[in-house]
Amino acid sequence: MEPVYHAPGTLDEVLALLAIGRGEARILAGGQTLVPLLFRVEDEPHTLIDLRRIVPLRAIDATATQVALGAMVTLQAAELALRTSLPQVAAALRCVGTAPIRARATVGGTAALADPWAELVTCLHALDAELVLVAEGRERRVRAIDFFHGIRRTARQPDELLRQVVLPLPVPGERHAYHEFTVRESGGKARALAFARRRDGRTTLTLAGERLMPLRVDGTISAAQAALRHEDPSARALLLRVAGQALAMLDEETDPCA
Amino acid sequence: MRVTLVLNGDARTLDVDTTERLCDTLRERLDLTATHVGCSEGVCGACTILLDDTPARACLALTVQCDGARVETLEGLTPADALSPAQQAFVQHGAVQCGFCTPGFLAVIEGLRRQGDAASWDEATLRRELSTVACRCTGYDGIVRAARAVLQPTP
Ligand SMILES: Cc1cc2nc3c(=O)[nH]c(=O)nc-3n(C[C@H](O)[C@H](O)[C@H](O)COP(=O)(O)OP(=O)(O)OC[C@H]3O[C@@H](n4cnc5c(N)ncnc54)[C@H](O)[C@@H]3O)c2cc1C
Ligand code: FES
Ligand code: FES
Repeated sequence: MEPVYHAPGTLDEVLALLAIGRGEARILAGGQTLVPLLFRVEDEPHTLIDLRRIVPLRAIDATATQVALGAMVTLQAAELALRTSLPQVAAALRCVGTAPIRARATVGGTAALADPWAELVTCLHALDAELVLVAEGRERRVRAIDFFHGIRRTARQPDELLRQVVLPLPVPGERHAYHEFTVRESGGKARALAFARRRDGRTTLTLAGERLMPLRVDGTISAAQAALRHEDPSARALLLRVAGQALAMLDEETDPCA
Repeated sequence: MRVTLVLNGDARTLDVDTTERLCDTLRERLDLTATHVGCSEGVCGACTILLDDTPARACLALTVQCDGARVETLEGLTPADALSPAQQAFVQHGAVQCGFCTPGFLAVIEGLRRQGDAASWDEATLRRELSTVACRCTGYDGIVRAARAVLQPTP
């Protein structure tokens, strides 16, 4: 059965459709992951709710202390918007796929999917970002650590829309460094991501991989080694290498993204 | 579902299925077969077209999502009785063998040309941007030379 397609013009209509959809309604954002699933009929929702006409979801609102990205902000637009305020997040977003993918894939779709190797997911974790979820008559803000429950599992309820992600801006003296490495080999790829953050004299390291949801540890290699002791040896070696690189970048005098 | 696309400059109103992909509307419904379909997963780039001036995968867009948008395929980027400058460059630099990937590369190069900042790019940046399309035949050097001829012309 072909799903019923809606492209409502207001957020209220989206929330009403989600409320009556009882988990059978699927939100369509950039479609870069969902369209192939619909095509292969692996995902057969009875309703598709396309967010493309909800203009406020494309808003980027910056204050002195935070940047809020609407769910429909593309990864390309987010990358551009964050180049000066959060250059290492912008650098991470430049690693996503290639330009035609970034031009369509969205912040909300990426966060809602919760792929372990998604750059944005690691950045949200590392920075203690908040995610804003809305449903008919309610709204809540959830910290990234509480939002991402596991590989492709989140705290989002079926009737909730992810409306916004809120990234805190660095405090004076705060430093960030992002590094990732992807090995492509026949039969798949291995990927490791590391985000190092030094704030108020304390360093943390957020690590993620092909099958590892972001994990935050103290910013030392020995802490990373201990946290990764159950990973398989090749994944662990790659993660430690990327972790070392991110920590080294943190100590470079020059900002790697300046 | 009824949708209107501005297709290669002309408004076209069509009835399409909800889960119909843009690449299938183009190829099956409209017989615009320059848009090739390889992987259907966004990886190979053969289906890349211009959507509101920006290169996008036609296999990763539902046609209903494109209602009101400008869609340009290689048919629209090719003059009626000649080759476009980019096509001429592909011929001149040996950037085509089987031609399966060529429509995707031409869409990407046209998108970069309109965006306008490729003129100052170094070789690595140009290669990275072109890597969004996969070629199984040419070894890429001809494609990079053709792209450079279009995007970074030497006076
Ligand atoms: C070739 C290729 C390479 C890629 N490489 C990378 C990469 O290197 N790194 C990376 O991180 N990603 C990568 N991606 C994934 C791409 O970024 C995803 O498609 C994207 O993360 C999903 O965003 P979308 O807007 O396309 O969402 P969609 O595909 O439209 O939706 C994805 C899921 O999220 C749900 N959803 C969407 N928006 C919301 C919302 N606001 N609230 C609640 N639920 C919502 C949908 O219902 C669906 O289940 C790649 C994709 C492709 C095709
Ligand atoms: S067919 Fe669309 S990217 Fe391969
Ligand atoms: S020329 Fe054959 S795939 Fe590129």
